[in-house]
Amino acid sequence: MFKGVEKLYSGDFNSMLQEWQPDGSVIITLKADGEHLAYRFKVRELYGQHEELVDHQVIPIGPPQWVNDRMKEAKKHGPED
Amino acid sequence: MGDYPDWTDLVQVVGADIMVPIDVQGAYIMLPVDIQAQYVTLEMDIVAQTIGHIDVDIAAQSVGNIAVSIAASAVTLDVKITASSVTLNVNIAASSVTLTVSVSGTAQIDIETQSVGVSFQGEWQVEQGKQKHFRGSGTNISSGNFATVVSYTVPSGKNLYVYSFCFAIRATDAADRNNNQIGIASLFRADAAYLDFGANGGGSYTLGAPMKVAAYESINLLVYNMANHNCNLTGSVLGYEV
Repeated sequence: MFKGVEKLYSGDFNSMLQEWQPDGSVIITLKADGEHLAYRFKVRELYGQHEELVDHQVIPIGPPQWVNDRMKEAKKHGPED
Repeated sequence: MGDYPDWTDLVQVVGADIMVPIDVQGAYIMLPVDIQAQYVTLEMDIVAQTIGHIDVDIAAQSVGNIAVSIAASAVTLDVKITASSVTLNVNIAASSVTLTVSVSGTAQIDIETQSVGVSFQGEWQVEQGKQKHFRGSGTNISSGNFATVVSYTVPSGKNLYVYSFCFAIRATDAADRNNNQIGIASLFRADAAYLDFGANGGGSYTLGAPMKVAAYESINLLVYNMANHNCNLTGSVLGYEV
């Protein structure tokens, strides 16, 4: 079982985005707080007997590295007088 | 030879005033004590690597003072008190405390401390990382039709509590964007209609009390396009799952 589908069926996520397609399939993006990865996958016949996974991606999320670096720097030095 | 085949002895003490200091050291000790007296003072000091079970059953008209001091890396303490009048002073100092109190009757809580945070259940579960936010969309939905924007089945062993949902409706074509965009949001629980509301452009609804969706049950949020032109529909459901 792919990680994204595993998270869907275990409830191990905090936010879910569903993009329903004209053909009835749905693109689902799951994210858990504190994790820096999101799971985006497309299924046909969601929750159906013949549910089919047709795509699965793991996507890095969060602010870009340069923003992280600035935050670290700010925490290190604190606000300037 | 003792009183029993395993060489143990039976000790029976009968007297009006008895003092029995006991110092027992052994790899395995079983010490059943049955005391029936009008007045009892019982001091116990147990030092052991592992204590399996201590059952204390006190039936008395009056109990003066029970002081319990436990020092351990992990403690599970089940306390059940049935009495006409109970005063229970609990003083806990620990880096992490989970305190579940079930009271039948009237509970009076008097907290004296420098800093106390009290959260409602929903806020607390969000703080504990149990929040669930569902958002979904359907595009280019024709007039009179609907889109299922959120569909979710609660996993085994969990309950979902929904406290709010909302929707938005937008004209697909730019030429229609000055017109009314009437939509209706319907939140279904376990395939039974639960809540409907409509609005122009979208809206939100907050439940007075959370709606419970049990394991294996599903929620579906449908948004209907009641405008006279094609629209893009979105909807969200907010809750927590424990």
